[in-house]
Amino acid sequence: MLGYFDQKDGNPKIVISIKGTRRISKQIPALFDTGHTGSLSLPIIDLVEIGAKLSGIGQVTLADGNTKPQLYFSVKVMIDNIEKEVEAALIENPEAKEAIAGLELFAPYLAIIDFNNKILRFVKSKDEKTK
Amino acid sequence: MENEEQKQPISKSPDVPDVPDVKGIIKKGLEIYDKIKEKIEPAENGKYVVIETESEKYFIGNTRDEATGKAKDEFPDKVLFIKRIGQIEKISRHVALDHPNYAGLF
Repeated sequence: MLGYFDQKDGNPKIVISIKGTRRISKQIPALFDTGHTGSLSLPIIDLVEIGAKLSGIGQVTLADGNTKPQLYFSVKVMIDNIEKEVEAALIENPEAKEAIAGLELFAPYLAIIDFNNKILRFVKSKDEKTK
Repeated sequence: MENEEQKQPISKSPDVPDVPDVKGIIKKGLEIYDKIKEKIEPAENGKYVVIETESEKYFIGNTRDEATGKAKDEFPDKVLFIKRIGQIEKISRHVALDHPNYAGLF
């Protein structure tokens, strides 16, 4: 499974397909963020377009110590022809256009990043291959 | 004296589903978490707990998705409270860059 390095900002990304309660699926670029706990954060526009259903509420702590609610939505994600259901966190900024994909989304995979040649690849780990 | 016949009848509100009470779910979720804290910390630290706040049932998973999946098997239509056990949750710095309270921490 191939990702890419975006020529505009130099960040590693992967195209994923998302689906909510509506039958339409939508392909979006997702920034591969190794510092992201959780599987996926999605812009509000994408969540609305696919009709994602609110599934959970949490609380996050900001750098200044204040807390704010975090909404989670049930989303089906297609990666490498495999569909999985995840709880996507809402990105509140209405100008955000990009999803953020965290380590949990790629849990069965090994990520290989070649910074020199700007290549991002995901391969199934040996344990997954032998299953 | 007011004429009783001229009083306008109070119209009945239409039956619409309740909008989830975000603050209420967080408050109740944290209260329930405090009750179960001793049972689950520190053994389950780093995992996620998902709480259905009406029944006070909780579900633990290694990931947020796993814990929520277990909870949704029993409560498919409920809005659940989600918390990381033993830790605070921070938001990704890429999301945080847009947030005014992050003030250039990164």
